[in-house]
Amino acid sequence: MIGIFILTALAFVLSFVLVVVDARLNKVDGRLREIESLLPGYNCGSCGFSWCRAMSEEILKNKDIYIKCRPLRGKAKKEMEDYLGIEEVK
Amino acid sequence: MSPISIFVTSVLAQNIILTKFLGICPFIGASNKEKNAFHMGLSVMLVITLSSIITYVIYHFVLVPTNTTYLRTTMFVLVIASMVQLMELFLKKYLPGIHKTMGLYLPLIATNCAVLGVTLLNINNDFNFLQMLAFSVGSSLGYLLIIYIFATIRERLETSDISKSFDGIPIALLTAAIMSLVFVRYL
Ligand code: SF4
Repeated sequence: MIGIFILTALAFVLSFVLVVVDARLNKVDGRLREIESLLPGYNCGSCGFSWCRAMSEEILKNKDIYIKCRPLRGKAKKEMEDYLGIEEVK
Repeated sequence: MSPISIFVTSVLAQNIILTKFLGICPFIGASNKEKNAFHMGLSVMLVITLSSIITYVIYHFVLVPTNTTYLRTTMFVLVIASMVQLMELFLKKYLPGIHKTMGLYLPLIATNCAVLGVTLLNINNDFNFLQMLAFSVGSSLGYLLIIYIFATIRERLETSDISKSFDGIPIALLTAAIMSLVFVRYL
C-alpha cells in the first residue's frame, strides 16, 4: 500500500520539475500566438510555408511577408495590418 | 575498497562497455564520428552521475526506511527517464546544434542499460556514498573513454581499404571485439 504512495509521490515530484523547467526554458514569444490568431488558420500552405505557425514565425522576422498569405483578405487583412502597424510605432 | 581503487577499476579493468557489455547500442550507433561520440559520452556521463546520486538518496532515505525496496527498478527507471528528459530540454535550449546532431540517440539514453546498470550495481554492491560516487563517475568516464577511442578507430577505418563484405558495421563489431579482448587481458 505504501508503495503506491511513494511511487505516486515520486512521479508527481519529477513531473512537476519537468513541467516547471520546460515552461521556464521554452518561453514562446507572446506575439507569435497573436499573429497566428490573426491568420486565417487554414494551414493551406499557399504562403509557401507548411502551416500557419511557420508563417507567423516568418512574419515575426519580417512583417511585410504577411502579404503572401492569400486567404487573408478584407477585414482580417485590415486587422493584421493594424496589428503589425502598431508594432512599427513601438 | 577505497573510493580511489573503485574509481580506477571501474574506468579500466571493469570497464562498463567492454567487460560488462552494458550500453552497447549507442556504443555502435553513435560512434561513427569522433564528435558525436564525444557528445554522447558526455551526456551519458552526466545522466549516470546525476541519476546515481538521486537514486542512491531515494533508495537509502525513502525505500529502505519504508520497506519498499522491491520498487527500486520502477523508481530508478522513472528517475533516469526524467533526467534524460531534463537534459534534452537544456540541450535544446542552450546547445541546439548538439541537440540536432544527436537526434534520436539522445532520448534513447533513457533506455541505455549502462545507466540503469550502474544505479542498480551501486545498490547491489552495498556502496557507501563516496564509493557510489567513485563508481558512477568512474564507470561513466570509462564509457566516455571507450566510445571516444572506438570512434577514432572507426574514423581511421573509413579511409582504409576494407573488403566490401566487412565494410561498415561488421568491421566495427570486430574492432569492438578486439578492444574487449584487450580489456579482459586475453591479449
Ligand atoms: S497562406 Fe495563410 S492560411 Fe495558408 S498556411 Fe499560409 S498563413 Fe496559413
